[in-house]
Amino acid sequence: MTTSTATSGIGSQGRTLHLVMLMLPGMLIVAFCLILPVAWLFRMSFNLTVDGSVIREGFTLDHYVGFLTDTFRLRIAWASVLLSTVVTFFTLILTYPIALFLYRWNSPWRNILVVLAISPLLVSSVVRTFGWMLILGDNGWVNSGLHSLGLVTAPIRLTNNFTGVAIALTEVLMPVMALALIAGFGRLDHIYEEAAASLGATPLKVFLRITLPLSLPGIALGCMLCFLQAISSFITPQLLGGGRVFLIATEIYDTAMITLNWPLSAAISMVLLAALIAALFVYARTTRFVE
Amino acid sequence: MSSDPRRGVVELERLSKRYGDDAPAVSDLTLRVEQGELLALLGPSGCGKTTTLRLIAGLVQPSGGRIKLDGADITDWPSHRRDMGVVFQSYALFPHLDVGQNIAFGLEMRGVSRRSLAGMVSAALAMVRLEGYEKRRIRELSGGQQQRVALARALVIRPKVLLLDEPLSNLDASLREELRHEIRDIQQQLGMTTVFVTHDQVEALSMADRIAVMKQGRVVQIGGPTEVYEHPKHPFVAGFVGRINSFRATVCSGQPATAKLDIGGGEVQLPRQLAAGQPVLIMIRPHRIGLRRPRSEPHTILDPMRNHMKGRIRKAVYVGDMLQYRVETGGIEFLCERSTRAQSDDAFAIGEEVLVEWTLSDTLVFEQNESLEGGPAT
Repeated sequence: MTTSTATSGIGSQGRTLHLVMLMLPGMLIVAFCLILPVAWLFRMSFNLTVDGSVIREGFTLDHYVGFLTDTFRLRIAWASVLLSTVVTFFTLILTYPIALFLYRWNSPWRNILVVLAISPLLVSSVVRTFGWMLILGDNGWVNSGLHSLGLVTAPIRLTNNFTGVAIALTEVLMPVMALALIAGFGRLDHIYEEAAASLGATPLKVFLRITLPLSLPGIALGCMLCFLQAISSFITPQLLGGGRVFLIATEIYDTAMITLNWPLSAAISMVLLAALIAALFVYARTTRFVE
Repeated sequence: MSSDPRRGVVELERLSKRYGDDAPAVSDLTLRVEQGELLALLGPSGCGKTTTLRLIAGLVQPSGGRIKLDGADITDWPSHRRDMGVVFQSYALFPHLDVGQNIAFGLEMRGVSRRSLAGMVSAALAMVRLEGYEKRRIRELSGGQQQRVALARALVIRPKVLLLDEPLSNLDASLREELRHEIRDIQQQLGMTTVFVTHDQVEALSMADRIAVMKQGRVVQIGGPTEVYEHPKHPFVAGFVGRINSFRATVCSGQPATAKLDIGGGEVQLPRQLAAGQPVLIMIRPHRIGLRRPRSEPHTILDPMRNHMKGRIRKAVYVGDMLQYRVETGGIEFLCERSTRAQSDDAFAIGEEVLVEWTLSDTLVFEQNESLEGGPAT
């Protein structure tokens, strides 16, 4: 027993070294490209702003206080949370049946369809958003179709507003949700549904009591990923919002690049980061509860 | 949980199930399970026994034929209306529910009130000797305990029929034997009509009232354990239910009452009249073959109602309760089994000359052209 412990001790030390060496390049990249910039932003958020745009080294909490007491900016934050929640909800509702079908389907075509389902990820979201502008615009396919059918006289506003951003963002995030759901369906064995049916459960009861609870890990993972991507999304709101949809990510961009108030922009980023970390904690707690 | 007369008669009429273009998993199957009976579906893997069980449970739809329960045609009924308790091979206990919730599931689906639920769950747990396990998580249970919970979950809803799909195959040998008795006791106590799928002939022989031996989607023989074991109607049944010696041979002379034929080097008397030239398969159970030393007996008193052959011990395997000998007689090899005794030294040595003998009535003879698929027994 002692010998084996000693041997495995040496072995695990060697293993640890190997692991560290294997992880080193990745860790360096993460350190230089993620941790350092975030640390720099964190420092920046305490700097002083003079005359609106001149940055001076210093330490002040003004930007945090300013952001958290500014009702306009708080409304923007709230709009972001609302949009992300709505988008996550619809992404889940629309993707769940597809993911369940793909997970269950026992056919050589299954893998091809899985690749097709996530293939939109291969196209830049800029391109996909432009596609949605073609479809949803005042002279887009939806409105011209409705108009030629005589269902509407004036076009329905589907771009440059919240609705358009929500529609496009939902589609942009569906492949991510599909991947997360399929990956999270690990415990979903058809035999549990058969057992439930044999015990007298109707198809609806089988879904509510067995299928849905067993797919919760996938749902939690997918919702977390989609929520994080939605709340930090920039391109789709910027393009489809037409400058009229104010969200947290676009606000950070505007504050930094247009108003040139870097410290305030950094402070908003830090608040967003804190919110995302909080969301991650909620996710970790939920999955532990589910498990 | 008292037994209710007039429930649980299952009738399968010309039932068949075909998946795609493959050979049918079940074809033209007709059988009747009586009320309170334990029927074992016995056969090798791929013989259609599990498909038959799933057809009865309504988990797959038949390609043809009818299923009746107590006279009512339930062929088109969905699984959840059939009132059958199923114990799956992997138990299929819901991993996100605890033991009590698993057992209560079927009761909740039947609208049993919350007040009576707890009592029924604990009674079901007591029946499988797991009192007080309500709050345990499924993964904390051993295989045997999971098996018991699965049984309790299937029985607590008082199904008309209990369906068991290889329920003991994932357990180790000693536990399997214990649970075999336990399941049989509970089944008899409740008078529950039960269909039991197994590939283990000992399980089928020791538990079932009747055994249906299946091969390639058909029932080859159905009958009580003794009937199936002692009077197999087909070499497949003889070969599958218990170990057996089997030899191909040809009838070489047709004297009255017995006939002689050659197998390898020797000649064997047959228990019944057969035409000369008839190809046959001869089968003898290893434990029905006697071995003795030829020199110890005078050569003259050989019983005419027994077959005798001279042979030589080639191999001996000690398996505790018996010794298995491989005896070579003129080019063919017999497997013989003798039960062991602690105080005996009559074990044969390897290379020793012996006399192999068995009574004529223990000789199973199958005319080769009457066999169903034409194949030899394995």
